[in-house]
Amino acid sequence: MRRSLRAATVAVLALLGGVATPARAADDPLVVGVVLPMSGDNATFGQESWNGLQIAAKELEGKDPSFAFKLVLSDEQSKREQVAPQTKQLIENNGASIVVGSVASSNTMQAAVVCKEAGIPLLTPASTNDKLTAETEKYGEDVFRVCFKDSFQGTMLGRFAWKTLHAKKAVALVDKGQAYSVGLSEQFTREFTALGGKVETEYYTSADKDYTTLVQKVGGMKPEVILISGYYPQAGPMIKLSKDAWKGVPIIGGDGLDSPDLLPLAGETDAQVYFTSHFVASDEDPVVQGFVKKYQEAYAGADPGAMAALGYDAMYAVYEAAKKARAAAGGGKPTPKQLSAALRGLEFTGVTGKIVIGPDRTPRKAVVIVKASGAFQFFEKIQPE
Amino acid sequence: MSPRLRLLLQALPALALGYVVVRMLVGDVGGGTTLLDYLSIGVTQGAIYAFVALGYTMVYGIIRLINFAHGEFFMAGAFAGYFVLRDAGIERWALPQPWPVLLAYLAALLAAALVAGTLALVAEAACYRPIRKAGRVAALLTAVGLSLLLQNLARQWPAIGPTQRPWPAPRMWAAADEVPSPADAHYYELKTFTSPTGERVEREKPVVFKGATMTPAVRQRLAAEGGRNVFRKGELSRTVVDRSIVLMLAAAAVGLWFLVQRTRTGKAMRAVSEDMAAARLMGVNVDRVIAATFFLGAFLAGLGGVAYCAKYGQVDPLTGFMPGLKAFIAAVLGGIGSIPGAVVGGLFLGVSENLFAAEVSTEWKDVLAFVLLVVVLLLKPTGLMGRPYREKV
Amino acid sequence: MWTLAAEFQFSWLWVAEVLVGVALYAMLAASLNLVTGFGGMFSLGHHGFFAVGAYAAGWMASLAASVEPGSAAGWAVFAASAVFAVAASAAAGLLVGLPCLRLRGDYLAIATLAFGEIVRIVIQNTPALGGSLELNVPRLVMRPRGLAEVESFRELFLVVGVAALAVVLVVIRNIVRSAHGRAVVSVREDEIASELLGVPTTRYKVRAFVLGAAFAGLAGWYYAHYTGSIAPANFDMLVGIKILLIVVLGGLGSLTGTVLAAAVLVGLERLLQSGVFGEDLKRWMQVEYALILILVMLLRPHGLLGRFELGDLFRRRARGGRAA
Repeated sequence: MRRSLRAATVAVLALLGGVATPARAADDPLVVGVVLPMSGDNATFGQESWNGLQIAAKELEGKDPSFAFKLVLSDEQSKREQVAPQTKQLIENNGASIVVGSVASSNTMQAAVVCKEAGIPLLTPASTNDKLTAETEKYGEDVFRVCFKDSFQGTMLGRFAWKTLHAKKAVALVDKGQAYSVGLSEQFTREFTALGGKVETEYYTSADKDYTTLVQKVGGMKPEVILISGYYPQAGPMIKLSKDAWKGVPIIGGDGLDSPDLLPLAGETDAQVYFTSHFVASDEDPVVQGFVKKYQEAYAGADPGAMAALGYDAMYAVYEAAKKARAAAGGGKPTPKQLSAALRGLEFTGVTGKIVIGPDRTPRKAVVIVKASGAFQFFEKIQPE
Repeated sequence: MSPRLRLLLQALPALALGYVVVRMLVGDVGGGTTLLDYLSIGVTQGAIYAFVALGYTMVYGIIRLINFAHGEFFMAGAFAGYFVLRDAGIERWALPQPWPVLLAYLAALLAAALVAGTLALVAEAACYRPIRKAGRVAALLTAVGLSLLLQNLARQWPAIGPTQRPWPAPRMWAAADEVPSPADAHYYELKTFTSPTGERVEREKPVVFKGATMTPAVRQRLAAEGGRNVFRKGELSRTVVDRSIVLMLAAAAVGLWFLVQRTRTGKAMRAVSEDMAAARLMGVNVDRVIAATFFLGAFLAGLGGVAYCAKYGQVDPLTGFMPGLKAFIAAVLGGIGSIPGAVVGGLFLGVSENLFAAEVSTEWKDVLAFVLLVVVLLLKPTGLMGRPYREKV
Repeated sequence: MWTLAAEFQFSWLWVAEVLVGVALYAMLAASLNLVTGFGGMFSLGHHGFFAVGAYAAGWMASLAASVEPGSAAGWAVFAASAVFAVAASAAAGLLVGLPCLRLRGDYLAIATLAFGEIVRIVIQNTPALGGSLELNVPRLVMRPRGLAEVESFRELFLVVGVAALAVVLVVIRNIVRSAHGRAVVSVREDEIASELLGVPTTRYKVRAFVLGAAFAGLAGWYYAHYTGSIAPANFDMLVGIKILLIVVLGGLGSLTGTVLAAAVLVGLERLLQSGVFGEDLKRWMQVEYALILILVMLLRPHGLLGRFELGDLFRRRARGGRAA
């Protein structure tokens, strides 16, 4: 009775929508669900990642005809409450065997909760918060990433501020609404105070656009370095407003600042801005330059940001894992479980460096320090110990 | 409410004020900034709130509608101003010659005010007029629906789009061969890119990085890259922007007062606000008066939109949300329905928010507005400048 | 080959999720209908009580994270958290109601709106509740692993939701039909007249308000346990607006209308979101939703059923045209 009732509802709805053509086994591609912020506050993150994914997908399509896959994109609009329903839809209605996304750690956490219960692996191109892979109770054992973690990035930022910028006193600007912002500033503070520095913390929210008082107040604390622990839509205007109040004080940040919109939003400024990232187009490494060329060809001369490179690497990670899993599955379409098993310990060389997914489901990779002055300039590359 | 609690609540503002005065006399609150600096920041922000609050208050005063879409009129105005400034090519003008910049800004303000006002007229005729008799809840929900509609239309509209854009700022332009050598600057070139959505966007691409000087070699390279469009950037200084915002508010407030108190339209507005049925019987064209009120309110919101975005340097479809909400609170604080109340409420909210953020906590800043709102509603529901409440039986 | 628009496959999973959403919003809207529709108190802050209930339940569940899901202890904590959530939001209702219900009309609406926002900002700044980040609500009655188990989990919650909704509806109906309820309705119709007739208006208003808050708390409990992760962003002003919209669409004072409106609105929203009407309509979904909202208000400002219940319509039809 229950079963027939269900079947009836589904049939009625299917008629209504005029779809529901049962998938034929012959062309049963691996569905890769992609959830990214294509619009809203963090739109450049999503757009760049998607560009990177697409470049990789185009290459792979010709490379391996036996590997049939399909990317399904869902725009989470940079809204946290959109992520869970959209991830559910990708899994339940589009039949995704693996989900790739999202960028902001807090949003990826929402996707992880859904994926955990559905038993689907989640591969995030750019969410760096440690908790995602550490708190398995919440997010499960199947969250992977192709980027480094904030514990690494934050430590490197702390060292950079202490050793290279010779700062003794820092102010950290934190958005409590973003797991990334909180986590990064915590890691920075740990390292910077361990080295002997002093950190004070002030808070902002992304709903607010007026940071005049905040900027003034921070300037009054006389810091020697200012950490904007957050994303570019807030960091850009802060840098713009800080022209007088933070004169001569270097500003640092994490990969959340890595967006082509950062400098236009910051406007004309003399500020010294440095941030840690995964990749920078002005890096002279031949692998990087090869990708830059491909990207410029595909997108009318635009330079790829770190998110594009990570998107590209994420697609390759999916491909490599699928290849490995297919071998385990005897040539058929791999199941989510097999994909997840294949992602463990996966090794390949991406454009953001050699990627070896370790036991913490995170690769150990180099961090690039970028100087943002007029353009994103390569400053330094630090390999993990 | 017990009298003791009421006394305590009434004593709080006095204590806060006393504290602020003492702190100001003491001076420096850290790093060479005084509380007076924060006061001036607060006044500018309050002026923007006041611009928006005026529209809320006028519309409420006349038809008792909380016009939730008012923040979207503000946003529409801001975008109109954005397009005028951008298309006027303000980025190409040099700051040392202020007249073109000033003219472009005047044109932008006018366009913003007119676009916002027209939008309000259309909205009033299409949505608010038909629903006027259907009850307050239905009218309120219509306003919310309109707000959502305008926000999302802007997000989907290809010319606007869902992401934030930097506000156009005047730049100093020079062709590559006109730059004296050696000279320090950022040098940029305008290049057209195809965005991921397929849109053609013009974006500056740095050609020589900061710290480079214009040497013959650089000039040669720029010339080789076709660098006629090389420019260095300049910007309006913050104090200029701040002062013009406050001046603009003063002018608008005086103009509005004159209009409401001294003209026939103003008289009609006051009459409709007092008693719509009686005004109609006295031959006032009520529909027109209401339309005029919407237009005027949105006109001011449009001005506020340009001021806000010029100050914070960006514009996006959600620009109107936060200032709209805060301005609404400001209008209630000042006494919704009262024009001087909107100005007082706006300034009061702007100043207290910024002093609170500076002195107490940036974390709890946003709760302050709502707590103030509740306290004022409980003590004096009709607001700081409102008329006493009387109920028709 | 990749596509932006993939074929959307209807599944029972999807249908069950929509039905859970309908039950949730019907519960919320019914509780607000008691306040606004029957009590005539205009509240824009109902999502605040929803949040209080959800966080109370979530916090209690997070204390029992080590309990085996589905065990007797798990069910006990599950039930206890419902009681706690209802109590917490009722207390919040009393706290807000006592001072604020002296305000009338729009001023009450503004005060409740402020309350809803204050709740959200306070949660954002309370680390024990996860702050602005999410609060994880451990699964107490079942911990799904894999899609098949997700399906049974959803069915289980559908049953729980329908049961909770039934309780809410029956209690509200009985109250409205009691002497107490008639007093509440009399306050709505003419507060001054009822006061003159000796009805202690404030007391009745506060009671209705507290009860409405308590039911919103129950909805919060349901939501927290269903999603397993709650964040302040899930309780913003738009949620309060959506609840009010359902109440108005269903008709102020009509309970069956409320359930019908919840089904229509949530169903419509999810259908638009799913993309079955094509990718363009999906992309413009927010615009369409807002347009529908405005059109409904313009065409049926008193809701689908007005003050009538579904049953009344049938009864009227049965009596023939005489009633008309």
